[in-house]
Amino acid sequence: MIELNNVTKKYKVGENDFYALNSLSFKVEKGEFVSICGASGSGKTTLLNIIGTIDECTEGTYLFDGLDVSSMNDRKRAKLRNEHIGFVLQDFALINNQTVLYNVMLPALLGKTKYKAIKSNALKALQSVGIADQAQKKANQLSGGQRQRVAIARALINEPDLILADEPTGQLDSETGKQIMETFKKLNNEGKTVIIVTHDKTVAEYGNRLVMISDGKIVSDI
Amino acid sequence: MKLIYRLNAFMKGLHISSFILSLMLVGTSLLGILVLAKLNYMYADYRIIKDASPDVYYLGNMSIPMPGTLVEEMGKELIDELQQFSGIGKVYTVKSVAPVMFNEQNISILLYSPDILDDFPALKRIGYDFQNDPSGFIVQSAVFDGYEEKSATISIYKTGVGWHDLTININNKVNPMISTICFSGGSTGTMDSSVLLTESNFIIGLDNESNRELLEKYSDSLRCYPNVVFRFKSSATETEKKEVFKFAEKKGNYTPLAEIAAADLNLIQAQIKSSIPLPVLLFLTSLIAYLSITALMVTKKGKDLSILYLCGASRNKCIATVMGSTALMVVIPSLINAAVLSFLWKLQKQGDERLWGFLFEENCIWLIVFSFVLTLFVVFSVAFASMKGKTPIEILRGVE
Ligand SMILES: Nc1ncnc2c1ncn2[C@@H]1O[C@H](COP(=O)(O)OP(=O)(O)O)[C@@H](O)[C@H]1O
Ligand SMILES: [Mg+2]
Repeated sequence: MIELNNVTKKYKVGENDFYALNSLSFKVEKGEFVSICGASGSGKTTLLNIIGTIDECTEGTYLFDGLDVSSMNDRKRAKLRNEHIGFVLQDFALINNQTVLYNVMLPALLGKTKYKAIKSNALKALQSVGIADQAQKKANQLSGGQRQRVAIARALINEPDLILADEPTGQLDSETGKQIMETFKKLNNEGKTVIIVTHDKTVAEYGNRLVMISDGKIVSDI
Repeated sequence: MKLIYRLNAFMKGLHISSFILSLMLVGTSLLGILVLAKLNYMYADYRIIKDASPDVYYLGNMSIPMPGTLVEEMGKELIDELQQFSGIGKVYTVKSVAPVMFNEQNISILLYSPDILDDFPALKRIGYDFQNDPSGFIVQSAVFDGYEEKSATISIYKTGVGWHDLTININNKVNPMISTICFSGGSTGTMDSSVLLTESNFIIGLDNESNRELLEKYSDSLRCYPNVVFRFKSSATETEKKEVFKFAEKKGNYTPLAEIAAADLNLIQAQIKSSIPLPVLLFLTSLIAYLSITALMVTKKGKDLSILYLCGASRNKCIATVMGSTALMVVIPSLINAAVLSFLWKLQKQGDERLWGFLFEENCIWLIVFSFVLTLFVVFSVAFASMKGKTPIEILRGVE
């Protein structure tokens, strides 16, 4: 499903080049649950953002379901992201002064689905993560765990094949973190491909494949 | 619908300020329209006088009318006297005849010398046209508000009989053009061209055979006010002119039309000087306000935009979201202004007296278009400029 070949991400820092990703190659098959682990600054987020099409690599190729993402324009990548990829971030990335319902609906509002259908889909997504009763609350009225569930519901609304999560438990206590990880596990069991970035070993254990990354390179893959 | 829903959600937290801003644009642009309409009116006034032949002079109201004066005889003596001067080319009259009633309102009849329209071409431009029916009348919208028929029944008083109905044909319906603004000379006897050219509560016809015949029947009850206008021959010398002026001074007060036109122009210039700065200043203020709210939106809503990007919007869609929501703040006020203008326009067409002193013309629409385009341009360029440097990914990382 995902195929990165010699992907490099280079930043210019002053006079020097800095390689956040250094000629990295990586494959993920449909239905996998991959944990990407590594120290802070090792390039995990950069990698995930490139997979999620919100960032671009400076060299190398990226194929998504056989399509060459690295040669797509911004609009095409946005469409791919909107339809096939769901994102969950550490800080939830919710619009705080909007309702939970609106936040969940947002990705679908960008597509062609009718408003009514979007609304009922959003409620279903909220139900599947167990917070349908919070739909009318403002996002900032919820607890961290609830917020992350909203983010997951939002990631699910367009029924993507791929779920990307960047330190999804980073701002949660361990008990809540566990519940969130269970949710990802459940989604994976339902057939979704899940890639999770974390520096937390216990979180990484939920995956059925562990990729260690250091200085922009994969150092182990088991 | 989905788009509006999304834009509306995007503007959350900025609703009140954008509402105030929109009101500001509505107010500013309406003020601009009113100022322009006022200037339009003054300018139209001025053009009527200015377009008159340069050697036309107005000689005031010449005699105190007595009931029973024959329509034909009115001003005749003065005209004869004037015509004896060698410099005089043409003499014509505008007679006002009263009392006449229409629809329970007091009105008067103005009779123009037929050739007056040649010397006041502006009159034709604003609808004083008798070509189709020389015995028909031109009516004032103020009196004939909402009256759409091609003929009207007026009443003229006949001694011994009482009010007598009379049907006249209507050539055209016009707005009163000459206001007291232009001719409030103050000193006694200063020419009041409002009587000469048009005023409200008049119906206007040509001083021709058929109309005279018509009014002759009521000559014992009508009061007739003759006004005299004369024009020098193009070959008239200064001495010839001076002689006429001397005579005119004895007979009444006269003012060269050129002088009135110059005074009008001064008034217009003064009006421009005094009334343009405020709306321009307000407009600049509102432009700056639009500019800052757009900049504010980009910074304050940067995170929302990056979330939008994350959810699958392209960069252009993010920019379009900012532009769309700011455009709403410009489009809605402009629509309101267009609606108000068309309402005023309709009132004007119906001759609503409250609109005296204003003339809504095409340039009012252009003013709305202009303020719309300029505001939109400013808003868009600010949105574009302030978003160009930022990439959603940086904002996302910033909040990570
Ligand atoms: N815009 C940027 N300019 C320069 N360096 C950057 C930029 N974004 C990220 N980096 C660097 O790239 C490296 C990898 O970052 P990141 O992928 O966020 O690491 P991780 O998520 O593993 O902590 C870091 O050292 C970071 O400082
Ligand atoms: Mg990271």
